[in-house]
Amino acid sequence: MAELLTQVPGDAPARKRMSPRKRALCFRLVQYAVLLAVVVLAVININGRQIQRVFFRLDLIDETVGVHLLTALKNTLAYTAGSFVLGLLLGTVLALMRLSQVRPYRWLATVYVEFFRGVPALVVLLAFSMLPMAFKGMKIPFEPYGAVWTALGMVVGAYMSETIRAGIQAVPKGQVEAARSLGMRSGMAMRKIVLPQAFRIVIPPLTNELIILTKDSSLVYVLGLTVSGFDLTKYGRDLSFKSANLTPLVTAGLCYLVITLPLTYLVRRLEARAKKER
Amino acid sequence: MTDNPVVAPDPHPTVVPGPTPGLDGAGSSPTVDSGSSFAAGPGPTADPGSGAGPGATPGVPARIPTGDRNDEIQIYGLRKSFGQVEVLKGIDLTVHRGEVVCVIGPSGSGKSTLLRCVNVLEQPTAGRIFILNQEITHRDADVDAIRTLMGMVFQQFNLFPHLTALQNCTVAQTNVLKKPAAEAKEIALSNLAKVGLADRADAYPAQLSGGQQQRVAIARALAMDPELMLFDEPTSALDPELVGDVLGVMRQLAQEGMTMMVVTHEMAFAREVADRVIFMDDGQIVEQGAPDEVIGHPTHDRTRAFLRRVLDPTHIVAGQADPFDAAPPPSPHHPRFPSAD
Repeated sequence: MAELLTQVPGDAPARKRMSPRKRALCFRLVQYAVLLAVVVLAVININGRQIQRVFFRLDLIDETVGVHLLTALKNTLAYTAGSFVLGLLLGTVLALMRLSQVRPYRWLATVYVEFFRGVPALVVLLAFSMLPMAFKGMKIPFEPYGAVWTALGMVVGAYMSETIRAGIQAVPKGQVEAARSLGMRSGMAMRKIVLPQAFRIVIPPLTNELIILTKDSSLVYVLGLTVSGFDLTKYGRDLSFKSANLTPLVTAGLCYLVITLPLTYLVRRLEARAKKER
Repeated sequence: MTDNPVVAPDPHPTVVPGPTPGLDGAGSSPTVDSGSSFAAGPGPTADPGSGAGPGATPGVPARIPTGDRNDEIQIYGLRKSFGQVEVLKGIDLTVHRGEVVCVIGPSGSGKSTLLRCVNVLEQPTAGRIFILNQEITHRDADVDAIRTLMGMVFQQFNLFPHLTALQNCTVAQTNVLKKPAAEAKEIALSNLAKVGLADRADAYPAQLSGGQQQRVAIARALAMDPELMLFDEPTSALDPELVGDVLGVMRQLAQEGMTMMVVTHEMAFAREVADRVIFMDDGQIVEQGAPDEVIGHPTHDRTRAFLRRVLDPTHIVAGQADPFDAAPPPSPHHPRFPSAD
C-alpha cells in the first residue's frame, strides 16, 4: 500500500509530498506546541496569590461553610426536589393531554407547553412571588417554598411533558395492541403497559432535566427571602457582597457541583444501560 | 387427481404423489377428536364445494349470526380500506369450533389485516364480525370483553419487556379477569409448562430467544383461557432453527381441539395441521378447502403461481419471468417442497 502511494506519478515531482502519517504527526505536534505556549503564558502572567486572595480566601471559606451553608444547600435541594415532583406530575398530565383523543385537551396542552417554554423562568418566578401582592389576602402555602415550587414546577413541567410524550410514543405500537388483545381497556393498557416502559425510556433525559433544574433553582435569589429561605446562590452572593470578595460565591458554586456531578455520572450510567438493553 | 384445465404443463404432479399420502394420514389425525364437533355445523371438509369455485363466496346463512355456537368466528362482507387503498374487498368466512384454519397468500394480500379485523385491532370499514355469535363490530359492543375470548399471537411477539415471563402471563388475568394473584400465577405456570418454559418463568423477555419469547406469548394468550386463538405469522420473525419449537406448540394446541386461525407462510405446517386452508390474494379469498387440495392441487392460477414461488423460490430469478411459466421445472425434485418432517 505504502509503496503504491509513493509510486504515484505526481504532477510536481520537484516538491516531495508528505505522507498522510507524517502530516498527521506534524499537525499533532503543532497542537501540543500551541497548548504549551498558552500554559507558559498563563503561568508567567497570572498572579497566583491574587487569585487565591480573590477566589479562595481560606478564612472566608471557613466563614461561608459555617452553619448556614448547609441550610442553603438543604434549601436548594428542597426547591429543586419540590419543583421536580410537581413538574413530573404536571408533565405527565400534559403529555397525556397532548396525546388525548379530545382535541381541546391537545390544544390546551400545546398552548401551555409553548407558553411556558417560551417565557423565561425568571419572569414566571417573579410573577408568582408577586401574586400575593396583587391579590390582597392571597397566601401561597409552604412559604417560601410554595411559590418557588409552583413557578419552577410549571416551567419544568412544560419541558418534561415533551420528554414524557416522546417516551410514550417511543413505546412500540405492538405493546398497546398486545395489551388490548388481552382485553385490557385503553386506560389500563396505558397504566400497566405503556407508562412503565415510557418512564424507563425517559429516566435519563429526566435526570438531565433534574440537573438543569438544580441550577435553575438559583433563580430564587431574586425573591425577597429571609435567611432561613436562602438558597446556595443567594447565600453566597450576600456573603460576597459583605466581604467584597468572591470566595463565598465560589464556595456556594462548588456546592452545586456536589449535587450535579453525581447526577451526571448517574445519567451516563443509565444511558449506557439503556443502550445495552436495546 | 390433476383436473387442472387451465395450466397446461403442471409441474406439481411429479412431487405431489410422494408426500401426499403420508401427509394425509398425519394431517387428519389431529382433527379426529374435534371431528365430532363438526357434525353439528357444516364441516370445513364439506365446505370446499362452495369455497373452491372461482371467486365463490359461501352462501349467506339464513340467519345472521347463525346462532350455532359451533360457528365461533363469523365474518360477513368484511371490507377494510387504508385511505384510498382497499385491502379487504368483501370477505365472508366462518370458522367452526375446533377447526384449524390457515390463511396463506402473498404479502399485501390482506391476510394479516383480516386477522387483525377479527379482534378489531383494525376497525373494519364495512361488514360484520361475530365472535361466538356476539357482534364485535357493533357500535355498542364491549370489544374488550369479547377480546378476552380470543388469544392473539403476533409476528413480533410483543411481550411486555418490563415484566417477567410469568408476569406477562398474569398481568391480564389479575387486571382484566380480576383473578386472585395466587390463582393467576398457578394458571400462568401451567401454561408456561405447556409451552415448555416453566423453568424460565422469572426471565425477562430480553433474556429469552425469539422462539422462547413467542412461546411465552402463546402462554400469555392461553392464560386467559380463550375460546379461540389467532396467530399472525407467528414464526416469520424467527431464526429458522427456532421455528420448530413454536410450530410444535401450535401443533399440540391444534391436537387439543383449540379453534385456531393462523396466518402463515409455513406450508408444511399448514398442510399437516390445518383442517382448512384459505388462499387470499388482493383482498379476497381466492380459494379454500382441505390443505391437500389447496396446497397440493390448487385450481386457481394465482394460487399456483403463489405456491410455486413459496415452495420453490430457488428457481425464480428476480426480475425475470417465472421459468415455470414457460417450461417445466429443471429438476423433478423440489428441494423445498413441504415434507412431513
